[in-house]
Amino acid sequence: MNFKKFYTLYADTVYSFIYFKVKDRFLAEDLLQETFLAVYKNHGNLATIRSPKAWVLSIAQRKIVDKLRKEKHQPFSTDSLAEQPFTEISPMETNLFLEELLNRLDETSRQIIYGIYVEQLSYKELAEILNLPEGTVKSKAYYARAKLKRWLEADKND
Amino acid sequence: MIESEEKKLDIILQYLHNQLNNQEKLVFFNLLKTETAFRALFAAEWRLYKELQPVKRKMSAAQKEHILKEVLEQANPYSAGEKVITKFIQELLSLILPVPVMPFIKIAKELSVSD
Repeated sequence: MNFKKFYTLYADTVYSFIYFKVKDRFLAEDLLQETFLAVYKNHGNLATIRSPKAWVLSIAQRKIVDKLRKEKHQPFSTDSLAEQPFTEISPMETNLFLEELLNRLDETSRQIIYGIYVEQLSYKELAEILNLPEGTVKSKAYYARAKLKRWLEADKND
Repeated sequence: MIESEEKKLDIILQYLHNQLNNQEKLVFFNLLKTETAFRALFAAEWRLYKELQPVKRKMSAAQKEHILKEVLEQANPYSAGEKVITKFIQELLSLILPVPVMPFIKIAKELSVSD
């Protein structure tokens, strides 16, 4: 697979993954660019990569962490983004209630839920992207999923 | 018969991710038909799956194209400058050299540049 084809196939996935975490369009575009620049440097090996989606998202994840550390948005911790307001979300565009529910989860659980249900990633791929043991991903997914279902159910009953 | 909830969740997720083979699909649909608890679990998973889809963002084609261009320019920082210089030299040569020579120079240049 050549670089342009790879970009066409995964640009939206990477952009969405980054945006979901940083909630800033311009920062997301910058990070997308940096991610694909890193991909370009390795584009000779694209054909040999087993799970291209997990691979490119793990690069994006590293870029996000590096960028946030460098720019010192806040002293960075994985939970620091949980308190940030959703500045760029238009009520017309997304389900605000669901965003609010997701925001109640810790940052890692939120990314895991996003990865499973939106990007259809496996636990193994998520473990690779987030640099966590697969068992941790699985148990975090289990508890986050249970919480979300409980909250959604409570909303249905209100 | 699948006992643990974790395993049931796994098979539901695999169904949602379209990763079940034909035999696993049979097991899945059989569970859906025969087990009330599995049906409830699937309904909750399906709701979560559906509710989360609008979270996915997409870029416009123009935005995507622009970023690709930026990436390629950054990856090959001299390519844009090289193009301008090449064009300039070709125009200069076309002024200096007699017309029949130019096509040969262009062909030689194209052959020497690999993308």
